[in-house]
Amino acid sequence: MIKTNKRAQEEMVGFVLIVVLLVIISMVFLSFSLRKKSPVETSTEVDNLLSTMLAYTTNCALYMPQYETVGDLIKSCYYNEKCSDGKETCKVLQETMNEMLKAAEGDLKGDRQIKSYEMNISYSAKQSSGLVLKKAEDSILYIKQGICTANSIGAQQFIPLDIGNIILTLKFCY
Amino acid sequence: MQTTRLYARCSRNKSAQLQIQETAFMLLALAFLFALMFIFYSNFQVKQLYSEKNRLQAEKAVTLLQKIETMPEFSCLKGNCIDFDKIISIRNVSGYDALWKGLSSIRIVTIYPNRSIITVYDKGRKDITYSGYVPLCKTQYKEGYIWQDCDLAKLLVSIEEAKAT
Repeated sequence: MIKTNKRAQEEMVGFVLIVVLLVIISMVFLSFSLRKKSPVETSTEVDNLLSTMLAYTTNCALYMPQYETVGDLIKSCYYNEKCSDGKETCKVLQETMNEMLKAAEGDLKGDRQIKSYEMNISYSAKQSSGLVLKKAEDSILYIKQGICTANSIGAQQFIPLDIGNIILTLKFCY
Repeated sequence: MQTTRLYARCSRNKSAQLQIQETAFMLLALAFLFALMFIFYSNFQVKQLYSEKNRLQAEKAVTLLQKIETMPEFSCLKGNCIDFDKIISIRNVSGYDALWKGLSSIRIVTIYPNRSIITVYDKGRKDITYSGYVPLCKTQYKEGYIWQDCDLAKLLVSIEEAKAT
């Protein structure tokens, strides 16, 4: 009777050991798979595209014939300036960006098909009121085409302006 | 008496056989479990390796393109851009062939506002092509003012693939 009990106890210990081993292994796997991925994958190609877009010369000149680049036009738009032909800089910026993004959308290389894109340009600065530092953010331009449901690649760039930065974020979903 | 002893021996043998079978099944199940774990782990590692490979390839492409972009034969007077007038004057000039050693083609595709292709050099081979966006700028002159008019373009550089002998 005692011998049978001992054998049963040994088997139980073996079983418990196996269960513990399995739990530890599955915990390790779970921690690997649940590791949080960043929502947007930073892409060198999109970053490259964004900096090239900033260097594009628009057809808006504040003082003829000094035509503004997209980078300069963003600053002019933030200050609500007008082109020498009377057009609003923000309107020219929106038109140019829309057309450029449409042209670039079909050109982004790779086997992935771009389904949608999103661009956000805003100004962010830390303002001090008394002893408190406040973060102020103004939207300059927001363009969205299509609905982003799956994976995305993107990039972010900063243009220093006054005490803050103009933040450009471009995201393509595929 | 002899029959009882024989019966007891048979019974012990059967029990031992059962125990061996049990251990064998247990070992088989464990081996299967470890094989499954190994497959999962190797899959994960392969995925990681591929993403790392893609990242390195992209970095290599950017470095190569930046090197070409900053060559005096391509670069603008100011800023990181390609001079349209320079590439028009050097395209298909055989004197530059030594400079393009290791490359099989150099092309510039303007994307916006108009789409066009400028071939600077082409050996007529299909090799690995790297591409990157660059501003393609023309120097404009009007009423005593000089400024740069830049388009959105893409620089495509094909490099000769090393052949295994």
